[in-house]
Amino acid sequence: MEQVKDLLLTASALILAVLILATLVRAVLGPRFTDRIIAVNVINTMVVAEMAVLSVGMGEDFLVDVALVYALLSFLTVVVISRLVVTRRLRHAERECGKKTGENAHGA
Amino acid sequence: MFILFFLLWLLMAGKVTLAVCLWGAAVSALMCGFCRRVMGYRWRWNRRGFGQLRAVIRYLGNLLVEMLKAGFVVMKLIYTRGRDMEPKLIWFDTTLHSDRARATLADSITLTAGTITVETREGRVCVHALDASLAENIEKSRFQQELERLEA
Amino acid sequence: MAHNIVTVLGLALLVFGVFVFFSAVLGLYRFDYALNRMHAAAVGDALGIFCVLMGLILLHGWSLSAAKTTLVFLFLWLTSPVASHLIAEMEVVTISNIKKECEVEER
Repeated sequence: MEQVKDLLLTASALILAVLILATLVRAVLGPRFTDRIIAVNVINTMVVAEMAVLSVGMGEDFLVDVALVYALLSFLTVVVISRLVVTRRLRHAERECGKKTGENAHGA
Repeated sequence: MFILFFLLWLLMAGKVTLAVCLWGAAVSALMCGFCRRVMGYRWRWNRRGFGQLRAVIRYLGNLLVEMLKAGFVVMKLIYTRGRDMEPKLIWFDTTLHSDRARATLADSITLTAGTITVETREGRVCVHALDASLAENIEKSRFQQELERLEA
Repeated sequence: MAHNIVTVLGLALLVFGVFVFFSAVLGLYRFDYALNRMHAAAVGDALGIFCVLMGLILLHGWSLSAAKTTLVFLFLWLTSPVASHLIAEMEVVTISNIKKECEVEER
């Protein structure tokens, strides 16, 4: 029983590591930056799962705390990046709009 | 809210001694005051609270079941359909009025795989669905009916 | 006996969760557009993390680590819809022509 448990835990940790590498390749390949951010988000989720698996497999309790902090940080990263992109894009659009109306006024 | 912070403190500390409890009570009171004063949270206990608790728990169980079902459906789509999907962007009206119910509806829609809330603006919700079959009757889903009952 | 049953159940949930993650990554490769890929990512976020962490809670047994794992699970479930909503909003705002990728329907 214990041997089977150890074997399965090690195997699932290895498979998760391979999947993280595959998602990293996807993040490099992704044509747009949103594809890359999605891939990074999936990597973060899988790293949290991997840490939880390792905490059982190695018998280390503190890895769960590390996973909690990692989950907090990954959420914060996504929020900051998306807010930054959206506000910058909106400001850019406003400036374009302003330039266009200015040109129209000048032409008139 | 004080009790929640205190339980979190005990969980993080990992042991129950007098010093831990005293520090935890002090820090929880501080955090509670901070949340009320600066961030403007209010934790109201009204008389219908206990009656609503059962409805909230049933809603959460419902959400769990729907989420598991949607996950299996999307997994089947990944294996069988591959690239020939019919993605759809749908704008529809909600009948919910309070902000909290709208936010809960958007969260539930996003948590069930296959549909993602893109935008909510004054009662209009924009939902992206992976396939047209997943979005057939999204504006009268079970979530919305139950939330209407909770809101009333 | 009961301990063995709980261990087997936890291991089965864990292996199934790893399989769900595998199909999520497969979906990331098989779908061809960012908004479709997000649905595959949402499967991993919701179903995969549910299965893996539930299996690990069963494997931990009744201890402090199990409670902390529950906390991680609750936190991920609260934040993953918000994260995917923000990414979807960013994609829709920044793309130049949304109608080329998927049909838009007003109801």
